[in-house]
Amino acid sequence: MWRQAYSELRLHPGRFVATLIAIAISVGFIAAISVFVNSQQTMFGNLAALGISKADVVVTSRDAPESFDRDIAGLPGVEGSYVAPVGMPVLFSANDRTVNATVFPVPPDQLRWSRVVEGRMPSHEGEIALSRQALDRLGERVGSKLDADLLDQSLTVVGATDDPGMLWSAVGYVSGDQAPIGNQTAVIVSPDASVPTVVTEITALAKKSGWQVDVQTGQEARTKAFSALTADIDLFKQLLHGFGAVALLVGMITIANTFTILVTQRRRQLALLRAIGATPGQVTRRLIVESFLVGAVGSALGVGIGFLVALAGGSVTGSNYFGLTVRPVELVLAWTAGTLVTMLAATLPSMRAARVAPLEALQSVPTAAQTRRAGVARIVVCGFAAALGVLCVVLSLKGDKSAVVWALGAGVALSIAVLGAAPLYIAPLLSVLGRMLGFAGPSTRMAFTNAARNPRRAASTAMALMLAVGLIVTLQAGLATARTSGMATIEREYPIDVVVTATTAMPAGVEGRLKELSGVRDVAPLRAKSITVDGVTGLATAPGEAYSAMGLKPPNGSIPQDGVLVVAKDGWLSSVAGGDSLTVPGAAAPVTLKVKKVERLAPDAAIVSDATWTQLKGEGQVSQLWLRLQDRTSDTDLNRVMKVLHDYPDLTTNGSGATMASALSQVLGVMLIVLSALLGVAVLIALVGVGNTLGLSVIERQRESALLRALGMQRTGLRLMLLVEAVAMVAVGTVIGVLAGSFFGWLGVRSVVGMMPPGTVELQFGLDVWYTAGLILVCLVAAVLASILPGRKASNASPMEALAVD
Amino acid sequence: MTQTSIPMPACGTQHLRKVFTTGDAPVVAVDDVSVAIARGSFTAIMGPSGSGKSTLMHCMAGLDRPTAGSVFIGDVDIVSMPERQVTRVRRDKIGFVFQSFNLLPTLTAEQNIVLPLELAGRKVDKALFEQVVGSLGLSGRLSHRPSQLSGGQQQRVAVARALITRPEVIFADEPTGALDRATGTALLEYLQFCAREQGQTIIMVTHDPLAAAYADRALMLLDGRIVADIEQPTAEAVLGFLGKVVA
Repeated sequence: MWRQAYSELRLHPGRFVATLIAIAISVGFIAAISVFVNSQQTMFGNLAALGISKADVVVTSRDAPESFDRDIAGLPGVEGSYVAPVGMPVLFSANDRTVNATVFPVPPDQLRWSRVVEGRMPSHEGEIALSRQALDRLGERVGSKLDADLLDQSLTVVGATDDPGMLWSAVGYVSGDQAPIGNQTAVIVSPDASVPTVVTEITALAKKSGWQVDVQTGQEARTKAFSALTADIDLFKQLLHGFGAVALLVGMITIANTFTILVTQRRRQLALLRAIGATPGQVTRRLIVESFLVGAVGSALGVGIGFLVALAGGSVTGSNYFGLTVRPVELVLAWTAGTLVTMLAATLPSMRAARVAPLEALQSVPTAAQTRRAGVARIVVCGFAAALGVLCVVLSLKGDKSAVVWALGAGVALSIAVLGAAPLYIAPLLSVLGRMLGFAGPSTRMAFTNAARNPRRAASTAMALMLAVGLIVTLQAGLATARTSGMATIEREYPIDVVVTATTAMPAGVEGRLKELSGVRDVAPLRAKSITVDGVTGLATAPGEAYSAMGLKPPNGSIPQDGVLVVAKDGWLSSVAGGDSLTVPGAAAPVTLKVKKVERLAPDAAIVSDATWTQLKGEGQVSQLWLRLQDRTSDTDLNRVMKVLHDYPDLTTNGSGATMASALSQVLGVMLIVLSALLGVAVLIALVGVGNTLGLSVIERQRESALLRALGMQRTGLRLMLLVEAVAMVAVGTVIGVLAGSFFGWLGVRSVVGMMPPGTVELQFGLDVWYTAGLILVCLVAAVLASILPGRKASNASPMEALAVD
Repeated sequence: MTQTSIPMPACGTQHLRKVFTTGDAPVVAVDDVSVAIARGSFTAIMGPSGSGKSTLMHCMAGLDRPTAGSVFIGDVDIVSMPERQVTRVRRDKIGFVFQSFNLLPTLTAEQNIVLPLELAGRKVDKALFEQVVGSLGLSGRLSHRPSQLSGGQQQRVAVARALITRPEVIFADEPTGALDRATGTALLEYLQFCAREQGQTIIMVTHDPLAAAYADRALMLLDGRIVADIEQPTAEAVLGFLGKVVA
């Protein structure tokens, strides 16, 4: 049985290529995640343990005094004991570039893990050594000056080290003048002493002195440092494996489809096996053994690919310096999952094929279209799922507390309905399209009938694509809807992009400098008059003027009625209760104001209407500057403003529209890119499936292609036919995927928003048009590419083959 | 209807030679064959397996390229033509009937019949269509797909497809091979009718002496050469000749 299966694969390797690719991509994805994330973990672990990387024994103490270190150093077999240097994260910037570095005090020679490649280690305050790679990234050299954000000073670079270059973090050193801090002591054991003996000695010493310490070998301590990081990273890894599962699922649909086509083509061969005495069970087993071989080889390829991808990823993040961390168990699991999925996908087609009647071996089977009637069971199940889905949608739209759960249920039920019913509507849809486009000539018309001739095959090909595209668009529409809704809310609640507040008086010239910036659209000053009640001063402002100066409508409820003073609930006006009246000195006569207390207001703020404000006593000083940017999501524009404000340490900016908008659009933008890349793998597999279906169909239709050539169809005509067929299948799958995905994305955000108090967020459906158009375009281009090889094969069919008898 | 009465042949070959070079020794499948096929004639090409009759037909029909010599359809030599043009000649000037019918399973009988016209972008001649379909008795079967038709009906659809373009010549490759005796006889009678009454040129490759007897002329092939050219062949004459050759 094994040898037969093996020779089948040897004879027709081409037929299994697409299956191999599909399974290799799926498994490769999972293997890459495993190796890559583990290697990152090793890197972070190493970084966390850099200070003790050379230690033979590590003593972690809770209460031992410094003198204990000296006691340890005096033990036999101990060469030295040192406080392990502890790094702290610092942001360095120069030339508009920033590097995040972990900065250590210069470690004692015995603990050094890196070498100085240029200059020297810092010996005074204000000096720093950085890794060569970090300096290159900053575009600076030894001798330059750097700004360090947290250290709040400018530092001179005195040396470069050979510490590894990493994407997330670099390594730097400052002088260790101050007494080193840290609760770990790194012990170096002399070469002729044994580490376990020293551990025992130190433990005994600590016990005698009464100190609470943990004594570990260096290796143990480093492992512990790693595992402290594990929990966070494992969660991240599991999230990524979720996407791996999606890739496997789409791969499974593709593989199941491939096997169905393969065994259909081999019906006569299988019938022959049955005729010479093989039981259906034997035939099934033979086919499953084949699928095992394909799955095993494909998964092994996938593990190799994943390994290479992780290697490439590691060289980008710099983790390769610490080596790839390969957990064989995880890779074996990935391989097993890939192999099992292949076998599982092949089981049903194999069992169906094994029921072939032995008689079929003796009949010449024409390549007739399989027009099996849709099963009643399918209609019932899909109808039920659809009804359930609609019910869930309705419940979710009602927006009670569990709206998200209903939306999730709706997504699952409707997906089952749409995907499961695919064989019912894909083929008719293709036929209708073919009739509509029939005027384009016989090649186009035949392409559509060919695409639709095998409803199940067309359906499962389109289904894999529908699933992958649908998921991507669901996320995309969800993110876009969240973005537009969020932006609308920010626009409504925080129409001002940046609010600059002066703690004392607004310095002269700030307004002018801000107005000159290219990204700034408007700057409006907000004047304040002081009101003092019982010795506490509040700043009375009338924002109405500033709003109208910027051409904005004030947000609802932000401007009080005349004669009303709005203050914060726990703010400066503690002596007057809300609803009471307050009389303050006025420009002409004392003004009586009605006090209203609200939440969410600066403690010293007092807001009045424009008319009331003019009645108050005093000139009014500029207390705030309000800014509108040209593009509120632009980081560059915001940074320009911040740079100017940097020169005025007394000015503060608070959480305003621009920061929120820019943060929101950045977070969603990054999420979109990451999720697209992760789900893109699934789309890729589905597209491989399209090429595969076409390729196998062409083998099946070799005779027909030859006939068409004999009857006078040109080669280009055949190629066009295959191209249209591919585009038709991909278009149907993609369009349905986009439509379903848009709806699910909208429903998801709708249900989340529906659970918030009414009026918090205004729901606005969003779809990144360019992104979606790009996705469709990519799929169509892939369809064209997928048709090239099958098209060549078809058009190379010799017309003489049509005359040959099989 | 003899060769001499028509000055311009429908098709023919001159010093046609086809050598297959696959394998160790080159195999000469067709060896210096010169033949002219008269317009409106029904010619049978006969010979034992491996005699080169199929190769000769493939070359004459523009399906395969000869090693040397010329092939004429009408007065044009198709050997020197590029592939695109040969394809167009096949489409416009040649009709095919195959042993295994070769209909497209996705198309109805009518769509199969008019397919060559569609490929050429030509209009269907309604009168010709009605006449061909009517004479073949297919009128009631036009909306059926091949899988719903009997073998004889399928082969008649194939014949209609060959006739609909008014080709210079129809090549039939063992057209009765997959049919029972009665259906086969009816088909041969129809082909004979097409040649005699409608002036359609037909070349049929067969190894069945009874089928060859319906032709006006039988070319006997052996080892790639025409060894006999029998006018008005009878089954006995052909069988007798084959007996001589094989013995």
